Amino acid sequence: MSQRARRKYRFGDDLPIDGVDPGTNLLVAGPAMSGARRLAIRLVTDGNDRDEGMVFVTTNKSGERLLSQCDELCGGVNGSQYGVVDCVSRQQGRDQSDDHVALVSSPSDLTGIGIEFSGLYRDVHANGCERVRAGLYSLSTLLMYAEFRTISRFVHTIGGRIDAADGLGVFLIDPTTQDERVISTIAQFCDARVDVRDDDGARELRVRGLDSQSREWNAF
Amino acid sequence: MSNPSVLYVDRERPSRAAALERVREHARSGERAGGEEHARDVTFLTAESVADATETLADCDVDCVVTEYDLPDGNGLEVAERVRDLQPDAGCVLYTETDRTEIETDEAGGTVAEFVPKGFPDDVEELWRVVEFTVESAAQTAYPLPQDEAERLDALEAYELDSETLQPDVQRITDIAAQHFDAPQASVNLIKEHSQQFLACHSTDWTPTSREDSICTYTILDEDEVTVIGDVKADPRFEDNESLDELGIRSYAGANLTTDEGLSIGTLCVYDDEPRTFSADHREFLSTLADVAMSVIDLRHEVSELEEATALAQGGDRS
Repeated sequence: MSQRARRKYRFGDDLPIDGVDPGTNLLVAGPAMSGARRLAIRLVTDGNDRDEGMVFVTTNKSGERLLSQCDELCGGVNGSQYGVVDCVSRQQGRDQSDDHVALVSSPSDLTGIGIEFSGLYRDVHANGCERVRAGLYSLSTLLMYAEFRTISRFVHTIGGRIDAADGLGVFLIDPTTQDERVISTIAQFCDARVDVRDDDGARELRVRGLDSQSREWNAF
Repeated sequence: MSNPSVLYVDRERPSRAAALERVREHARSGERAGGEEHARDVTFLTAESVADATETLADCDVDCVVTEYDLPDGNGLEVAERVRDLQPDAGCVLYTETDRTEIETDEAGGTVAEFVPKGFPDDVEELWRVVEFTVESAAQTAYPLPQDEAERLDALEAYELDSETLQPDVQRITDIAAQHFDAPQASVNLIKEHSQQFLACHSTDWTPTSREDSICTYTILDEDEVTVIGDVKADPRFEDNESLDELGIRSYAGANLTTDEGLSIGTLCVYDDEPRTFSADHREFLSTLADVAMSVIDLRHEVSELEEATALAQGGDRS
């Protein structure tokens, strides 16, 4: 593996999260409106101006909507290699995938999501991106459609591919809709957990599982 | 990975033998590069159809299945479903010429598998990379693995747990546990690579279950000394677990059997057939009894090592 590929994945200076080693999977846990979703997207799009590829899975918003959010956060993904697995648009009547956006029939089709994810990840790699960041938004939707055990296998399999490819993985989950035992078991498939909270407009995050990182709540 | 076994599924056609030979050659060259050619021989099994693959999965241990999508009696996702039924921890990789937009996933939405397209430059290298990491890190299990899983399995392997002299002592411990908790069932369990085995059971004789069906799979990951589940039907991790229904398990308390090195090789558990609570005293008692069980296992191990050493010395004296 080249020096370039072994470099840490770094995030924006305004985020209180240190760079992480290649092969790291992060679970971002925060309720709706806490800034957790925006943070989980940023952890991926912060690679946009660093010559890194991006692969997204969107389970509750269309691929188009996700990409426009990405554009707001990083000034446009079109200069990068990227791919989106869209689990929503086909249900809304769209039926054509394109080079960047693969449509899956519904969030219950984990087989389809896994195959499209692997395929797009490979395409981004094959187009010259040695470093790839991947984000899945969100596991909460998938847990509504499938047994916990199936979701566990799915997260393990996708996280394994990200680890083996020296990539970065970001999985979003809403802890207010899930039993804590579910969250902590899924966190065990990941290297670290980033909790997010919003206390009267003051947004804070806490990282657990990264040795070099403070485990305290920090504003962001 | 030590001597893994890979099942390669593709229908009979001229390209199959060539593709399989390329995969074999790549596996061999990887072994040579690792300098452990003999230690890491990969066994390749082959099948030509869903039915054929199902038969092999029923008869042989397999670490990873590599399958084409288009098969004479069905497709590769049906093979993946059989893998989940018969050997749930095994990896499954769809390696296919079929374009991924043509793959019918709607009927098999809950089947998780890796995907590598066939017929591209370096496809064999990519396939083998996916197979290797899938096997080495058991990357498709439906449960998390302890960080020290390899050391844990080595420690478990080192104990002679089939000893006839050990069994009655461990059995007594399960009897005491059941009596103290007024619980219908108790057992001492070993968490092996893919299964949970019962070293001793109180009032029942359970056969091994797959690791993904076992609550103890999660207990050995728990930092707390004792794991309690007052009602398995109220725990989303187990509410759909039919195997617990079959065993009549509705509530659970389990304490780890931990070696001096801190490795959890198994558990001491009590079970009830209705929801219940376990007090702090209960937890402490179970934890102490698990320590006693571990001491018994350790002592038995030391005795058999001494006996072996004595036998060797006596054999040497005679010669």
